Amino acid sequence: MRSADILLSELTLLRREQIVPWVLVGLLLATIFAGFSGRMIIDEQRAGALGARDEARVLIDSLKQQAAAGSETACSPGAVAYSVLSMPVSKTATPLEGLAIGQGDLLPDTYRLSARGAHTFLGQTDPENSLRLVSGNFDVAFLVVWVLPLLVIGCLFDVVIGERERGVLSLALLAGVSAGRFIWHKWWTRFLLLAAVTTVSIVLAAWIQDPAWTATTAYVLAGWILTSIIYLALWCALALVVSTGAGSSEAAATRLAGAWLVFVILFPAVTNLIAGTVMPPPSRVELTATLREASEQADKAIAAERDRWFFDHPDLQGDMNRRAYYLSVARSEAGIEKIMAPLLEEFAQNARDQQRVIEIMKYLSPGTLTFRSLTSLSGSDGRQHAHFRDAVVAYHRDWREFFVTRLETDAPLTVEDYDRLPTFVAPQIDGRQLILSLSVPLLLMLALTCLLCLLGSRKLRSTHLIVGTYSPGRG
Amino acid sequence: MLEAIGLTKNYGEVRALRSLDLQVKSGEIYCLLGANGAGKTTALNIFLGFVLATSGIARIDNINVSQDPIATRKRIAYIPETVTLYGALSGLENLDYFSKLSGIKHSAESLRRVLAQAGLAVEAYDRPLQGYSKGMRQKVGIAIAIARDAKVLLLDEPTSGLDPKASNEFSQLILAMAERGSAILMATHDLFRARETGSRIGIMRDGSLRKEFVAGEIGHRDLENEYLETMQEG
Repeated sequence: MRSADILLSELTLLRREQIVPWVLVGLLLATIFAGFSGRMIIDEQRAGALGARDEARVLIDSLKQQAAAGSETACSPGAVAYSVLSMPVSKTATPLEGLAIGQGDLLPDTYRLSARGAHTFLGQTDPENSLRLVSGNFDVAFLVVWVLPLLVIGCLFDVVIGERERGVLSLALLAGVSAGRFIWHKWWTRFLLLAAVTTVSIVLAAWIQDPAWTATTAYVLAGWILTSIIYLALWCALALVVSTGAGSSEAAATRLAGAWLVFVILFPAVTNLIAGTVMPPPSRVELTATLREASEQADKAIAAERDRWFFDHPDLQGDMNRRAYYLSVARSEAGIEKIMAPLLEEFAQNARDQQRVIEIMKYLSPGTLTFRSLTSLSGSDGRQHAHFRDAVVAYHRDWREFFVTRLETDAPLTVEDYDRLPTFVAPQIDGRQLILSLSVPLLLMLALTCLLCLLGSRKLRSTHLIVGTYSPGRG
Repeated sequence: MLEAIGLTKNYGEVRALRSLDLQVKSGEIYCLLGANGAGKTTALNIFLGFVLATSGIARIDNINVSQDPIATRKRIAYIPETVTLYGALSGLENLDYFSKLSGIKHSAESLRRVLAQAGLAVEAYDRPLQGYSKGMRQKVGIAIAIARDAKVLLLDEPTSGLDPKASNEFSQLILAMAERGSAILMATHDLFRARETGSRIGIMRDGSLRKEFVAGEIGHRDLENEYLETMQEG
């Protein structure tokens, strides 16, 4: 029998076994739904960021006009920096972020910063939630990592043992088709079918995101498909090995379900536990208490300074000099920040340490490895958020310096100054570079897949495959 | 047509088959009786080429099975104890699938003729196999054997679980195949069916062939006594 005939017969068989077509249709529909779900979350985030940016732009234009008209407030660097203007900065919108929300809803994509201390906007983050670092929302990444292996188990758990139980394997062998050739054709048919549906599903989900079709988008999409297919192949290879070695279909299904539980649920949970235990996050309560204490101290210091100033200038009682006031605010903010900075750094360091632990431990689970790769491709992983955060902190320094320098030198803000406001440049994603950075985990999974396939091939050559292991109670 | 000379199979310390000598000629039905573990299935597996003999020779159509298993397999049809096949496919489609697997392409008409020869009711041809009784599935198994036009038919407890009517129909089918010139080796627990269907009967115990009879020369009661006696031997 020609290979094409076996493949065609297998396709007919799969079509007739209605479960498989329904599984594939289910995957397609679920992926489309996940694509919409992801897009809704991202759209909401982007709309929020866009609204904040528009609002800031309108405000800046208005301040510019007021500065041209000689408004005292618009010309005061202190008033603008500390009372009027806050600047929203957003992470670069990645083309297929909606496919893997990752930590996109956990770590903010937009910070609204002013010249006040970094704690005023960095406090929005929630770095201690390590559980969400390796799990996710109902998005396409969730389907690929969590659900796809279950579909593989459903389609392939009995690819070998089922044929033996049905007595088909011995008939195939008598027909002159080796067990290896027969099973590999079945395996390839099912794998290719799953791979085709996965690819179509991902492309459809990507299309739903309505991205700008640039080279980066193409690289990211290619990376998504490649990662998902390699992950799929790994599970298919595992199903082959398990089905080859199991004594019954039930045993094969149970073992594979166990593998899913261990690699997709247990290992990521253990990774979370270890990351949280080895790198325990600093206390939130301590952060809040320190912030309150520092603010109180700073307020007291300002009040004392103000009292001293009024003591020296009794004639100006009730009409404090605006510049002097904002200078004291600047000093107060600097004081608070000095106290808060080590604590914030502790949180940031903790997040980095946890990421480092997860970065190492991800190799224990193909599920985590794939999830990290997919979120990385979609630009929603912790590492890219950390880059964005670092860029925001650097930008915040420029922003504050811009105003404080003018405040200290008593230089009023001019119309030209408004045109020279520091602009935020978000870290850009190089699609090609991104794929290269994923090459190690992908090659590792590919190598493991090949190893499992080789093991499966070896087992397919064993005579036990046809007749089972001898037991004296049989024939 | 089918011959075993000093056929022995050891699984580690366990001797599953001890120097089996056996010959089944064309048109003959040889029934191997014996309890579980007597070595019947092991003998069949050696003829099928699924298991290598530790020593001795297994020949099919004068070809040594261990030397050319592909050639010998071409001459064999086999019906295992459980013929489940593909439940989602109809009897006709299963037959077509396994015929194609053997490299034989039958027309739809020819496939229907083969199913009719195997005794399957016409209304069952296009029904999915999952709705078939065990007897009907065995008939599809027979049809696959007929379609292969095999010279040797090996059966492993084919009537276990069949009701008397289905069992009788099955016997008629293999008798018809023997009449067409096939050599048939059947491992079974069914003494009555062995006596009714077989040309010769062998009783196995602990891997060796203890007794052999010509089916027509022994009565049911005597066969039963001989069987029980063999099972009780030290």
